[in-house]
Amino acid sequence: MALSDWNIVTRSMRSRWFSTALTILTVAIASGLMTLLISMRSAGEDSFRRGTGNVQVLISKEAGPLVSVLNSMFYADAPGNPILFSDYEQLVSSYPFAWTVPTQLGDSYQGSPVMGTTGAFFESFEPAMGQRWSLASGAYFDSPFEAVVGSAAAKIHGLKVGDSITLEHGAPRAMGGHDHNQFAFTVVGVLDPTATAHDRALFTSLESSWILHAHDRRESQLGHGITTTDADVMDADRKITGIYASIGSRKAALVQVLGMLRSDPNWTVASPASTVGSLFTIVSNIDQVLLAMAIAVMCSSGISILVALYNSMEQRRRQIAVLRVLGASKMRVFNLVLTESAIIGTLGGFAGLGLAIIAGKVVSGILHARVGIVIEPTLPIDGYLTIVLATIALSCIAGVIPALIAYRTEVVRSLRPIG
Amino acid sequence: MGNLKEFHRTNTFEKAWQRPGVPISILADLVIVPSYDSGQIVNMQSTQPVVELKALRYRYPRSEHLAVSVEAVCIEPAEQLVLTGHSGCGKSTLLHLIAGLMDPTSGTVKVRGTDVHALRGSKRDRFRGQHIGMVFQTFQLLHGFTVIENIFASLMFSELSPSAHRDRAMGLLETLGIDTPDALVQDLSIGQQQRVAVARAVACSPSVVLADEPTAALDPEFSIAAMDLLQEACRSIGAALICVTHDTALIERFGRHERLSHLGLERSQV
Repeated sequence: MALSDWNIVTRSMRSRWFSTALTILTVAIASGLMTLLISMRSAGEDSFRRGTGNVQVLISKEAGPLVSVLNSMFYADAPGNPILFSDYEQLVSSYPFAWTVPTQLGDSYQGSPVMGTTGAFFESFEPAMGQRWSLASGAYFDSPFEAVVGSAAAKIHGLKVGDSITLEHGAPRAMGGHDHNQFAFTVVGVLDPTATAHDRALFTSLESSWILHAHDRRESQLGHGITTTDADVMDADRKITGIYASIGSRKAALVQVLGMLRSDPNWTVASPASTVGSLFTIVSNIDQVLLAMAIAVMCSSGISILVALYNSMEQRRRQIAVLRVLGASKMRVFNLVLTESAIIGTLGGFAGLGLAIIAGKVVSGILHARVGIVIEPTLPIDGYLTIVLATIALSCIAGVIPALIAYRTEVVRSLRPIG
Repeated sequence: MGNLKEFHRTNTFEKAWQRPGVPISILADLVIVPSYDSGQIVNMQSTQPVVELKALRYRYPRSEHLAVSVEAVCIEPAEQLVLTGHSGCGKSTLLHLIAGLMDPTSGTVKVRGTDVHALRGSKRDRFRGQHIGMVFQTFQLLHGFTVIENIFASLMFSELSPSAHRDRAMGLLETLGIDTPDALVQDLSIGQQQRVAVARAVACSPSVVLADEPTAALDPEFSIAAMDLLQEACRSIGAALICVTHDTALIERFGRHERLSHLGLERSQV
């Protein structure tokens, strides 16, 4: 087997393996960061859009539509301003909704949000467009003090059908909460994963929730040691915090209903899909800063290639001069250095791709476990290839200066005996 | 641009310089006489001098004095010439001018009838790789590469087919008594490195070998054996040898002695 340019390049890289490995790692981290950021950006928006399901209108008394969507659909915090159930009934009868689901948030179980709702939540509301609820085990709740647990919540708390739990008043992380120890809930069902924020929540009937809050009211009036039943619940206790609604496929009716509801100052009306879109418009500014940072990291990795090759040129000057004496042209030694640079870029680019995929899985898993939403950072294959090719191109650009040094190596001077 | 058309292998020679102090056998192995297409680069004729220098002048940038001044010199095929002179008189510079590594201020250098400095860029590099072998004082082997890879490095710029490189390199190593082709050159003794350097210089069957103080790094006891090896290797392939040295003990080994001074080249009696 004869010696080839490839052998010379790879031998040169192996002779400086530590420096070469570090340079490849730097390029891989930069390329991986860039890949992860771009893929997360795309997947994040998809995931948030997915989480709004088939809700066309979200009605609440929150300060604004964005807060309303984040609190009522993504469980960011407990909604602040309750809606009387009687107002809900009146609203529903006034508009041509195809379906509505009343929701009530404000309690939690060991950090996971608990939503009080009705059976319509599982019948009419689809957590993701076209995807209906299904049970991994058990059944949906049928009576007060029964709970259905989201898939992520079940996994986090190790809950299964038949378990008994007690809730805490107040949203997760809220100050001033207290336990509802008097009322034990039985887990009657565990839901299948939906890849939305709902996976980390628990669901009970509205009646259960109202009894808990009626009990709180009565305790403050009558003191401890009392027993509260459904009969003690007053109209003022029957509160909800949000309404999921859909008009159905009638677009014109949707526009009309949204217009009418928005003209009523008592309600905060959100169109969840467009609200999420506006959220990403805000986020995109931060996103661009992150992208700029990733580009800066890419550029710094290019500089690290330049520095690594530049430093190696001092050691290689003699080798290059010998090759020139043996018959290598200036262009050939230029190409040798540039090839080395391209190899570093290629290895770094593909290693970065691998790192981005692994990091994406880790981030995705953490987000799913903690936030309940599934963000699967993926790009189309040409997206990945573009990033790898850009990495190689950047590496080649970084290799031009060392390659020029090789090109301009003064053979006679470089071959002079040292000392 | 010529194509290597034929190799003439004649005779066989024994391993040379097996032990310091032991007279070497006559090297006569691979007498390889490449003939090339006539044309721009080479116009090979058997009677033609291998090297012709005419009115060659070289002045270093920003220097008033000529570093090299040679009126006319011809070196015949297989002729062996020793070049002496005081330090700084331009001996190494002259070798670099012949090799085309430096451009003269004026004058011409022809190797095998080709004006070396009329060739530009890669053509000159390729010509050097195919026609001129070089041996340096510090050998200038490629560290990090094995013995055989150092020979390959020379052959990769020849017109010899890559599939023939191994046979050619192994043949050379065998005849030069190197039995560790896969050893890294930096792990070899000085004497072994010298042999690898010679093998590399003659690997492409050059027309002329330029040796710049080839024994300066060696102890006196090894110098004669090393010079034997170099001279025999050149003889065996029919290459001319121009050797720069300060070692007066080696001068008598050459058929021709030229002394370089600021006055130019002056032939001395050997």
